[in-house]
Amino acid sequence: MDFECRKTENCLADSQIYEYKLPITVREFKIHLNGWTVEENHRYRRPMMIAMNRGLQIKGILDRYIITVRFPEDTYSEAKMFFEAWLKNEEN
Amino acid sequence: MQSLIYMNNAATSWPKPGCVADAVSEALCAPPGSANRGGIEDFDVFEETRKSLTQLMKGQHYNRIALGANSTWGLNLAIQGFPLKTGDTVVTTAAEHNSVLRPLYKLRRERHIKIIWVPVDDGGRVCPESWEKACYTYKPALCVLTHASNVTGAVNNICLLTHIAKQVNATVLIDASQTLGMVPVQIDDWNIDMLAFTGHKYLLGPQGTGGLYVKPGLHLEPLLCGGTGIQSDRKEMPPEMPIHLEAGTGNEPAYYGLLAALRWSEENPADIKRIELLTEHLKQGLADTGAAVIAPQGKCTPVVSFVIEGKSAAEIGYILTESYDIVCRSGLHCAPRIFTDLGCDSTVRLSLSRFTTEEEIKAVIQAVSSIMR
Repeated sequence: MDFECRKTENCLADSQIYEYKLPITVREFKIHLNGWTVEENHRYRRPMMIAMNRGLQIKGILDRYIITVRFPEDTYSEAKMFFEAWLKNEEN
Repeated sequence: MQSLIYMNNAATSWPKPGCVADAVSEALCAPPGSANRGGIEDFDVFEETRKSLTQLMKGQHYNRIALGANSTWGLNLAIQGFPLKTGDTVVTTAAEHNSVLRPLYKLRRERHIKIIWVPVDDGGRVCPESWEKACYTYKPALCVLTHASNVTGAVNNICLLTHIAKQVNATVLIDASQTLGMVPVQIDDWNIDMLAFTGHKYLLGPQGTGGLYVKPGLHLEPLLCGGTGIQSDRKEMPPEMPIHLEAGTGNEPAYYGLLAALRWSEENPADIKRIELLTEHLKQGLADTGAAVIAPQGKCTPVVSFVIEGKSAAEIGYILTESYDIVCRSGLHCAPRIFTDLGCDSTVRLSLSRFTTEEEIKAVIQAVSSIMR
């Protein structure tokens, strides 16, 4: 799928955080997360999802089109490259 | 925008009084000022702002205030412009912001100065005994400390700490970014040598304003050299203050905004008691939800940092912002050294303004409560 990517403010140690704007909602996107540990929370005013896999963390509000991806600092370049390659290959 | 709860005033204040935007807009539409070449009848927004600021700081010498882009500008001017030489010691604190830390690290690399870090207590406040011990042990050339922590809100006793530093003949630089406009500042009574401030936090002015007060008799080397509008035949910056430290064209529209904010605040003094009560209410409400709130004893700015066991500050901040439209900040807050003394690796920070309402405080407490469940 196509996506836009932007680095976000990061006042945390040891991580690189990027936002990805998707053509599908986060609710639709989570179907693609086979093998990830996915947690949803519907108690919050806007329900959200957190997914984890191999040091990567994805967060998103279920009805929105933006995910926030946290890559580990020491491997972020490679991890980001693989993540984006995977994302590009996924169909909408 | 209607449902937005803005709790990030320690980063930059919002909303501003209506007159601030009006003043900036009018300045942009009007012919520019005369940049130091104006006659006696010309309105000099920079001079008027200096006068207003000097009054606020309980000082006398308005021409000793150099105006620039922000307090980072002022702090860099103070730290890099002060005549520190190889082997000199600077005493500072664990609560300092990167706008103090990074210039000091730079001087350590380039001029081989020694830096002594005075720890803070678990509320983020400098202990006078530790400060005194460091000053007497190391006899620093320069002491740099924040008036209040941007992480916990703890306000330091600047009068006492400056007095101690002066006993060992140190020059004292105070970072008043988190206090000017919210907490009284008295540059003359406290015998402060330099004080950096910003216009866009509790002074309620636009971003792009801030500066440095330099006590009469203290000379700094300018960081920026350039046009001053006057004495163009000189090869160096003119010696007289404040122009000695102000190269280039000032941000006139922004300073019209800051001046408007200062005058508005004089006519509409903040109800400090109300702000303190709301801050206490927030701290107590968060603690009642089970969050671990950093609650320094004594005088504080309206800043509240907290953590929730089992959840990262990043996650909590994300939920508050994205799920509840509560603008806050999470992480290290550009003050990385304080966290060792606070006993945590990051926090979520909520910072109130004079415009924060009781309803907003309740909504924040409710949101955090939902995260706890």
